[in-house]
Amino acid sequence: MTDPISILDLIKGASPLVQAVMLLLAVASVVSWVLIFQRWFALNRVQREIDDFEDEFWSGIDLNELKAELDGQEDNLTGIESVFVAGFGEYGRLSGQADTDPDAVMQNVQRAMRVALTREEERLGRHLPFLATVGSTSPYVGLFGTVWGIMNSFRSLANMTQATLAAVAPGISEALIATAMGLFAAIPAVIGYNRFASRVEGMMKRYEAFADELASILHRVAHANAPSAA
Amino acid sequence: MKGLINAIAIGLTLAAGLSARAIEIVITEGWDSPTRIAVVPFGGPPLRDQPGPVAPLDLAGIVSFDLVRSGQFDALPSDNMLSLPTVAEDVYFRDWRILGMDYVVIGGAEILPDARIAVTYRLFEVASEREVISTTWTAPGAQLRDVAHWIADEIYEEITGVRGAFATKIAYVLVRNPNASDSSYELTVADADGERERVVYRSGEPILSPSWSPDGRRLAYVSFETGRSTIVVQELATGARRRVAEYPGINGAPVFSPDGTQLAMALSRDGNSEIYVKDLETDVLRRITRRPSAIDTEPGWGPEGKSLIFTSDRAGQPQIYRIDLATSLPDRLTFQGDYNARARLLPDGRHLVYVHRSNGVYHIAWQDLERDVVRVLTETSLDESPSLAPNGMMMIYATQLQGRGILAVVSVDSRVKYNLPSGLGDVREPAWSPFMTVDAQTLASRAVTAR
Amino acid sequence: MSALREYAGPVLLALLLHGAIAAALVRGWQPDTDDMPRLVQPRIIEASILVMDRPAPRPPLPSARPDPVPTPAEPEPEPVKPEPKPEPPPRPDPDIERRAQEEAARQRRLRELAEQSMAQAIESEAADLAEAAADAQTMTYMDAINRAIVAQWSRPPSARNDMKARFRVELVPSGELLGVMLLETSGNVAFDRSAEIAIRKASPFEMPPDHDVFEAHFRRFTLLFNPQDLLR
Repeated sequence: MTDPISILDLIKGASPLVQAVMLLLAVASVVSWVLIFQRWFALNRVQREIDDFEDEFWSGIDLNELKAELDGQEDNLTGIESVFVAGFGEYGRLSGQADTDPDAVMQNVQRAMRVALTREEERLGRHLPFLATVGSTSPYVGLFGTVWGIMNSFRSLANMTQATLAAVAPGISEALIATAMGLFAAIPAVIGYNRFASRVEGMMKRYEAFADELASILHRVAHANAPSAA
Repeated sequence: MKGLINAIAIGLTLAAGLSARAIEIVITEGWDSPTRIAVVPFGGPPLRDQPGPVAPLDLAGIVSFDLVRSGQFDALPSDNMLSLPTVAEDVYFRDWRILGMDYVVIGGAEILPDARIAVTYRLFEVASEREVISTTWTAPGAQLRDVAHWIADEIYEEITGVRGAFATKIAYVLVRNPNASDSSYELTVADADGERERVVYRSGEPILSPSWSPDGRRLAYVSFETGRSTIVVQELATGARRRVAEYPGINGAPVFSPDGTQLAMALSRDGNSEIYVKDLETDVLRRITRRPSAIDTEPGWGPEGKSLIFTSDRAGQPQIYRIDLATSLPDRLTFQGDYNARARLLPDGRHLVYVHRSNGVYHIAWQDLERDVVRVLTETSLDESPSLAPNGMMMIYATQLQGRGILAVVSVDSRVKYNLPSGLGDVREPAWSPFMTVDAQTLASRAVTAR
Repeated sequence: MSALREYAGPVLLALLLHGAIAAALVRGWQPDTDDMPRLVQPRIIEASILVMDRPAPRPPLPSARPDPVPTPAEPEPEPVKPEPKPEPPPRPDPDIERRAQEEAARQRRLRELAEQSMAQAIESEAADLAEAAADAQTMTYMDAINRAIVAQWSRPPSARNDMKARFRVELVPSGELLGVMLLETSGNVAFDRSAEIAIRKASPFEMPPDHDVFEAHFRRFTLLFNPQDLLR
């Protein structure tokens, strides 16, 4: 009686359903942390790549040269590079054909870049829905485990002749662990989701800005070339 | 080996004793409920307190009814008893415990050769299975009811710590044909339970305000036998009457002082009603209140006769005041409501009962003078003339039931209320007698056989 | 395989994090559980009172004591350490080495004594702590007894606030009443009797299942009847 109960004893003593809830929450917590770390690294990498590519892009390098540089590693393109490749590649393909209307060319270029942007947005925001789901549901799952556990401990109390606090306390304590785990899984997931969502949004703005810039450059080039072609 | 084990045992006991901090549980509350008592029908031959073919007297029933009437007891009907023991050996405490009893009374009577009757009873406490008190009363048959009341008194005092007031009397005025021209007024004395009524004075003119002398042998009352109010003191034993106040105007509300030598009264001989005290031996009259502008009436004595309480309208409405007889300084006691009258102090001098009007209805109120708490005790209306039992636990008052005046009794904790049986006619102006000492009742003897 | 590279780090990190948290939790809770048995054990050694009856085995006690309680004894050298301070003065005097030795012996003895008293202090502390743990249980049952008696106590009309009647109650482990003794009368027989009836009617009392707690507190205890809620 005087032995305080260790947390392991509490978990062991919980009913199977509560244990299942705890396991589910533990898995959710582990997975969401995996994704948080993964996203963290991935977004950092993307950020670096954007910086590097923009530096390179604005350094005055010939766009054809840049394109040729990237052509070799098509499987390994980063986000912004793929936008560039999509846009510039489309321009190069269309402008190489005869009697093309520069406006039609630009329309196709912009469509190609929009497709690339959408694909990139999807890639950046990957796993975020999972974090959002964990963040919003795991407290409820934990609460469910707790309510179930407390229900059980009170039900067993009903069978006792002497109702002491000591009789229900362990049950409630083990049931509450489920809520604690739910919160433990949810809080990082919510924070991670918010943080990453805003970063993704920021990056998409940069992509779009880059796409606009590229489009206006190509537009200028296309219209500069058009009269001679006409 | 054995010695070693013993040593270890002693050592462990010692250790446990040392480590034990003696606990003390303090009980500061209780769940006050009536004490449950079973008064088993007494054994012995059938007993009658009157000659002739009357029903035999059920002593246990009288004792039981007395105790229940106090409000402090809940008696088990004899039909529900598992056994009817009359001797101590037959009392199975387990049975009584099952019935939830706290106390059991058994008893028996026998008729002695000189025709007197010896009644023996034993009071057992069920929880500890102990005999608490055992007494034998010997009395002539005519006093059997008194014996039952004395037994009830003893049991009551033993269990509650308060002197019992069952062997007391009440005096009241019975009005026959109240609204007819031939109405008659009967000053009646009866047992506290309403039995054994006896008319002590009958008149065609109204009788008011009976009041007992402290020894219970005399009654003072107001009579209109001469056409105007007169205060009369009457000896109960002999019926001898003496007119003590026949002053011009109103002579009213006589009350004996606690030592029985003085009579407080309200007289209007000086214009309006004032409080006077008359010495019954020297006939010296002393005026107590001096307020020509206000009516002062309905005096009552404080403990030891050192002060008087009275009703006065000096503040515009009737309120209760107290005046110290040594200093003649009055102070007001009641402040709640616009009508408070006819006050009586409890023997402890701290509590007051009086007629209190609230929302146009007259009730009897109880007031704690030290803590200034007022409680309304009664639920009936038109309640008047409260009079306290000498132990201060019960109060009798007059009230109306279906347009007829009756007497009702309420315990001062207002736990028990009941109406007294009365014959035809209006019953008014009750007065509860003081304690009647056993010696004054003659002839009976009492022997405590065990305690 | 790129996915493997991409996720291996995060997975490792997440598992490490959770492992650390789980370890911290288990470790963080464990000390309580660790301490309690360690502190309770000396209470069993209380049988030393038995040994104290015999004067002869006493000297081995100090040396034997620190052994069973090595960990609690650890912090204690610190308070003792300041004591060696008076030591340096004798040391610079080389001429009286014998005195220095004596002094050193004295110091050792002092330390031993300090350790011994420390061990005793820890022991009594442990007993206090164990009692505190048992106290919660004790309170629960004291409260139950209180409620049982309150429900049965019908005060006579002669009872007044602040009357005091004290009883000694003796129980058997099942909670049955063995005996009631009036220790201090209120001066009012009816009041005393009402209290005694309440005790008898409230029995048998609910008793703690822990036999030690029963022996320590409920085998014999006192009850004070001191009404505060009466009208007069």
